Amino acid sequence: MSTATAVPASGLRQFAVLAARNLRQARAGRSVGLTVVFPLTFFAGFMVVFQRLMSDYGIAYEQFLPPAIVVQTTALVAMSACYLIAGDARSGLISRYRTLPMSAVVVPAARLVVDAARAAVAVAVILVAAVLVGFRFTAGAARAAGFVLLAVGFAVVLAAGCAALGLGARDPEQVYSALTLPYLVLTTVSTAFVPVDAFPGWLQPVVEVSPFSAQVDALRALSTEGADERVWPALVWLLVLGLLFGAAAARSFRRSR
Amino acid sequence: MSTVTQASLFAGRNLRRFFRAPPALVYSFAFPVLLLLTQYAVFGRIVGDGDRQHYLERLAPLVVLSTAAFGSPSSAVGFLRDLRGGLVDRLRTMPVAPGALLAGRVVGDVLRIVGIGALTTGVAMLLGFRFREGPLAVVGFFAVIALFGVLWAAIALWRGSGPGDEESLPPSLTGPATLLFIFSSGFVPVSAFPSVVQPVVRANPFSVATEALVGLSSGGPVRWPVLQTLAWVLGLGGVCLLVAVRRFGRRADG
Repeated sequence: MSTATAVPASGLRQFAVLAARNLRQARAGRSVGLTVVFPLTFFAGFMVVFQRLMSDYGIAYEQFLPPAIVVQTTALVAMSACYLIAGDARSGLISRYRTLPMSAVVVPAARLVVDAARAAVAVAVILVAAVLVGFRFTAGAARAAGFVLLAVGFAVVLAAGCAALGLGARDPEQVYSALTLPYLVLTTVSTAFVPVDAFPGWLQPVVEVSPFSAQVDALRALSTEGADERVWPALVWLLVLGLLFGAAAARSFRRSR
Repeated sequence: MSTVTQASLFAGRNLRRFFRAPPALVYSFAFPVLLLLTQYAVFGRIVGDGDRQHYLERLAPLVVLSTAAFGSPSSAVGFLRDLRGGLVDRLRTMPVAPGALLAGRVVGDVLRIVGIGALTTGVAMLLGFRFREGPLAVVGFFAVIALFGVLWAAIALWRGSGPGDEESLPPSLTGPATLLFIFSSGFVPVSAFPSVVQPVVRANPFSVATEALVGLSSGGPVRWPVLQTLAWVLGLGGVCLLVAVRRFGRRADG
């Protein structure tokens, strides 16, 4: 008979266990509504409401709108990460993790990988619906793959920022409600739903520097025009926000109790 | 104590609870204002056919009305907490009229909706929204907002007294409310919708109430849209209220 000694699980194993747990949590919660019902409803609604008006304006909305719905939905997936991780922090789960012999990157990594998976599901759902109403990737397979990667990458970066907020929050419900205000402004005051020339002149510079505009424009370039110079601003934003939000998330994680 | 006094005490309590939660307060005022500003900037040129002020005449009433709908989740959750938190059971032991709590909820909701509606109207006026039909029409304008508020207060009572929990209630109300907002004649003109959807858009409670408010501010038909709004409030609002009163009565009887 040998005495069992507790051998700490490898970092990879810890990560796999936590990621699986987060995935189960996401499946049990509001995730299906968020990644399937919301984008499809919004896509269908905006197509019905704006297709005629936009075609009068000279825009094929079935090609113009899907990247906007992708950005909007990935932002919502990221916002729900705030809510989920705040729940973990409040229930004491995060403090419990911190008492265990675990690598510091495991908990945030398991959160972000699951958020990436949820974002990927949402992107797939939107693209299938979009292709059904006439959306086409006309810039080649490599750029189509880039479209998906960029969309998921944006979700992960935003999720890191939202997780940082969630870890520091006392009331997850309130933080989530508060986040809907910047969400509303950032998604609408961008090139997501209308082109920049439809905005009042004084607002156009604001629209042009918005990271959400950069993201939507890059997705449009990757799906339609293939103009690579439209992709670079999005990548720069991704890098800058990734560093900023990553550092913020690491900091809140170290400080959370 | 008369039932009316009791009801106004409950209304005051609900309003105080609302005003004492600063984040919720900021959110309820900021959301409609931001909604108005962003939609005005984003869609004004395309929907207004080049004329932003023309779009504002219809968008402002719609956003003002939406404060009723987007406030209903927190009202439904508040009622749910009253029912499940023991307040109702406690009141059974006291000489309180059963209807006072429900009446207090409706009155509190309507006062809050009209208040936020007035503030949002003020912001719209800064953008150039105008009342062109005289002082009586201004009174009518806010009366229609109050009427619309009764409808959403009744919906909140119906949802709050049913099954469902604090987690699932808000999305079950904001989802349909957002769809009704988008599919309304205040958001884009009815003629821009595909013809199969147009009857639905015309019958949408948001559309009829928006038409009534447009008539009472910028000018246009008033009587028919007001009657249509009244039909929605008495019909849907009445059914919701009846169901809520029945559920409430069953609970109060133990």
